[in-house]
Amino acid sequence: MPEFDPSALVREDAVHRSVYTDPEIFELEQERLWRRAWIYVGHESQVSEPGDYYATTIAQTPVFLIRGKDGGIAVLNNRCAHKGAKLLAEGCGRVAGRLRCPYHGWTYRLDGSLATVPAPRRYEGTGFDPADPKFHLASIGGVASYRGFVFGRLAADGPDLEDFLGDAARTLDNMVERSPEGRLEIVGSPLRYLHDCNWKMWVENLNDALHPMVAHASVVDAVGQTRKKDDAFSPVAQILAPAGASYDIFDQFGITVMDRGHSYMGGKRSVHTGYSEIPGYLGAMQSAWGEDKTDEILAQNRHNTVIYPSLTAKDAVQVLRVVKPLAVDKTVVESWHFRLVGAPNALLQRTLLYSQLVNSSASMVGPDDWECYTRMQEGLSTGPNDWVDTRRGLDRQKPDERSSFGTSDLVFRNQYRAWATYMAPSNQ
Amino acid sequence: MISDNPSSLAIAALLRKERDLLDRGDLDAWRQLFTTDGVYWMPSDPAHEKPLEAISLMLEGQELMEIRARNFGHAMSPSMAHPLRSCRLMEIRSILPSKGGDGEWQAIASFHAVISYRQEQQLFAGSYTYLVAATGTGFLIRQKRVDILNVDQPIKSVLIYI
Repeated sequence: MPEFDPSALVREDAVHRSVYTDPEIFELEQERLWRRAWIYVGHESQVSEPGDYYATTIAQTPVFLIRGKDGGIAVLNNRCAHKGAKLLAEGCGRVAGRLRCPYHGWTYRLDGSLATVPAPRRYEGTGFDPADPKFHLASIGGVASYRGFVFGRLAADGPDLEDFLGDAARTLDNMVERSPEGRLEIVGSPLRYLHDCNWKMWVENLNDALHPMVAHASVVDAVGQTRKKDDAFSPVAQILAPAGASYDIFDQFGITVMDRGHSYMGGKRSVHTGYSEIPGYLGAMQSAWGEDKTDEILAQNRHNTVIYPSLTAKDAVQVLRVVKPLAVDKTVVESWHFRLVGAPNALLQRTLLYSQLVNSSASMVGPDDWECYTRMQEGLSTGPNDWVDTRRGLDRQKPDERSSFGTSDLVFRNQYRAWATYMAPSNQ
Repeated sequence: MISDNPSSLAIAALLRKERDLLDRGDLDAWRQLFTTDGVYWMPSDPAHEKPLEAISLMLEGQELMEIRARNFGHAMSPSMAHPLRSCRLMEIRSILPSKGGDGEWQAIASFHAVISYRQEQQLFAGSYTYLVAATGTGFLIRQKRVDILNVDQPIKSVLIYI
């Protein structure tokens, strides 16, 4: 079988449809991309006390984030070293004492080291050594926390997290600094939305400024019909109406790309810019940070920073969306919501309203995106045209250009450059 | 338990009408069954006690109900291009005066809701909890809380109130 060559599927102005539809490419992506990139695992506020855990997956591999007795965090494989059973059910919880396998009762300390096995004398003379790391819960290749956001990497080698994040880290900085106390807390359970599409379609859509005024035209029209003439924009209208902004406005927002496929829209202005001031918030920020620093913090406004491939973040709205590919045409997206510690509760309520209106599977925005992804997945499953176009803005793009007008395809070309690099056999 | 007093019977009739209007997709008539401050609430976690303490799958008052009614079946909505049919089976478990004694009633029902959409049938099951207000001439819904059993599982698009 010939070696897989991603460069045959990614041109400067197009990508081959099979990157979205071929199950073998999906499996290869798990191995070459999702195992090698830093993948968002969870937030430290989910595991505030020793023994707190959050069980999730990286590239479909069960793992869990846990707070140790020493206050440090670890991400371990959620797989008993004995018969391979998952120790913890998915979600958050607290371990009292030791981790215990529900099948045969092997127990582990919070750092993953083996503590006890049942009837240990029966292992005598077998070579079984409880100190041998192969009988401990296996660590993953890398774990790092950036300002409370915990990332994991299955592969042992690769760049450190800050190198990987590059300027995308400024979005996470800004999320944290929008708290007068410089702290974030996750609030409640996430929304979990099941999509019948390839994960890349969903990720691409986050910085796709050509779709809102088309795919979301109906809800913008419905808001217009409902709004009474001369009424001030309600919080609902402030969130939904900008989806109908013109191509010129989205172009003015601009798009910025970074190494490793990361990108964001806006920067100073975005669809979130016109939100009403929350009483008491500006004063709390100025008291905490001073006027100049507060101005600097609130001036940043990035609409959907994509931290490729697993995470998108909204600095101005305090929402993370986490991408979990299940199959070539199945993707789960989780939306997590944050409280800015020290900020008025009304800010959290706007975060929740925003996400309910846009990210919920029962919203009036998400289902129209969902429908478009599904139609792409169905349409790209056969010919006649094998190529998906990404040339918009290519004519005016200079070499190594990092920003462009908002509706440019620069972001997609940048993502596929990163994709091809991860997928290249020479990088294995 | 549903007593045969006139208020209980009137509230039971209101809830059945509410269910029937959703089955017919008549969202304009449906929202008229709610008070002006009425809300439809689908929490993201059965443990949530108040609507604004954490994210909800849906939390819609009259403004959003009207927007959804205008959006429902809209010709420019890609998701509305497919036929959508739904059917709800509801068993009312109890209708009792609220403990506050302010003329409000609480009703609890179990339900199965089937939604046919895009060559699939979604099945939802769970409980409805209604707060019902006396209006002087009858009753209106102040809050309908919908707890679906699979709330912590990933779910596909939900295009109509359950």
